[in-house]
Amino acid sequence: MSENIDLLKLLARIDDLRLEIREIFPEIEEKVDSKSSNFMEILIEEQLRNEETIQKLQNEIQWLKMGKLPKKLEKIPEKNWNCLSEKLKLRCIKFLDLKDRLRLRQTAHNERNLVDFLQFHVDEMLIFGSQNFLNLYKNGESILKISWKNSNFPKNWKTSQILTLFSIFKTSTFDNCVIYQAPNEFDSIFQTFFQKCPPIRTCELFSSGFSIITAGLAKKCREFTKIYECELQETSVDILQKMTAALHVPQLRVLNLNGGHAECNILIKGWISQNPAIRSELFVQFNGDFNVDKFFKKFRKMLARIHGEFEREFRMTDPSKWIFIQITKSSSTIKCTVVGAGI
Amino acid sequence: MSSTEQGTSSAAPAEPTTAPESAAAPEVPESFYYVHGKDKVVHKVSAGALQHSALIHGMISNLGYTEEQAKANPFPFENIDGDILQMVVDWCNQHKGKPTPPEDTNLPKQKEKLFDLVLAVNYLEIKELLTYCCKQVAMMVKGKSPEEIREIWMIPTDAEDEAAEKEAKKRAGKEAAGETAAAAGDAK
Repeated sequence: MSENIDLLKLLARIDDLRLEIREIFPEIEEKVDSKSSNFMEILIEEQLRNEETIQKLQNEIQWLKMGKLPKKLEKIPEKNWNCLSEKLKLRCIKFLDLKDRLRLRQTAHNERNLVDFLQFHVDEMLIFGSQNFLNLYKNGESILKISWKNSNFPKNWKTSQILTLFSIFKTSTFDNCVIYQAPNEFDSIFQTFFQKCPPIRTCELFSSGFSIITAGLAKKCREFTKIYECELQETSVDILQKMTAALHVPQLRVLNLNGGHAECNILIKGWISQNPAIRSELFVQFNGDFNVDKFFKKFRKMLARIHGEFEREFRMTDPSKWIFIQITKSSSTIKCTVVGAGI
Repeated sequence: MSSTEQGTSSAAPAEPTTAPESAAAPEVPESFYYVHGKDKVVHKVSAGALQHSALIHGMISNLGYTEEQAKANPFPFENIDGDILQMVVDWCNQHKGKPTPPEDTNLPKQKEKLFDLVLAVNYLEIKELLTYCCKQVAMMVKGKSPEEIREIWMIPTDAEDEAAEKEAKKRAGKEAAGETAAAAGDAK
């Protein structure tokens, strides 16, 4: 009797198991219906499957022990920005405006390098020195305005707007950089500013007035035309010498110069002493009654060995060096062009 | 426009449903080529549409691939997903012999698909479509803050990058140690 009860219990247990199996492996059900309802077969099948599962789990444990992710847990990497090549990234960055590029620059080191590599072209940069204000123009529209009036420069310069300003200098190329300022104003700020300032890539630098700001910018600029519009106090020897002193200056234009023989002499001598390269130009526009012809009569005696009417060869302080300059003059302007040099 | 067939490359491709030519123009029979992606679904594309892809155009002109050969052996692009290839084929068909417009609004907006498309288009060398796609990628982050850009484009920070590099080095070291141990075991 008890044996029968045990058998019934066993059958009931098998039934339960069968239901459980159907829940876990619904695909077995089809086979069970189509083939036979032999529980033993199902149990054997289940056992085999369990063994397979156990084997798989053991493999996965092995993988984990080796410090690798099991294959099924490995995430299929989602395609994103990092999947693109540098070339493709640059192609995308090309479509970003300056503000977005400056933001992208802050995300990671690699992105910063990419943004700096792909220079953004700006038509004009206006710096209002006396108001600590900068305005950038592209295609006749203002694209960015920055004011650094309340910046704690140089104390917290890394968190100030000055850092944005430096980023702009790093990421952009300018056609023209115009500085409006009161001479020598904010010198204490700008002396520190220009020590940290990165080079500025501008084709032209126009300065209304000349000060430490201009001198600093001129030193930091590369391959550009310098244009200075002078004011009365800038005819001093010191300032005129500074004007010509910036290195790597192929073109220098001094406009509205209030001066005479002495000032013109300082400019030309100063410019020559910088060893200007071939095709370098010095253009001086005088303001007032300065007589260019009279000056050159004296100038010729003082410095020149004549090669034709308007051509002069200047001996440098080192006798082995020489430059050959072509001079064009009108009633109020002088243009000197280097046409040959032996240095 | 383009016909898509499920199955292997040997399956007979369906007839094209191209736009009718103008009545005055002399009818020149257009040749068709076949391409398939990762999913092995064959896409039938006209030679005119394939002109957009410098890669396929080069393959046809340089290798002298005839229409019959193309029918038997479609160009395999195993590294391009089927749906992405479908998009590319559709675009090529839409812009067949037409000047490309300055904007394309039909490009996918989903991030993953767009990056997939950029990679595929770059591989197939379709310049105009690549320009649109890159513009679309750039538009994703327009006006966003650096944190948002990092999130959208999944750019790892410098610290994360360094950590990942360290992890990779560690793993490589472990693998190398495991290999040497296995080799020593084999030797024994």
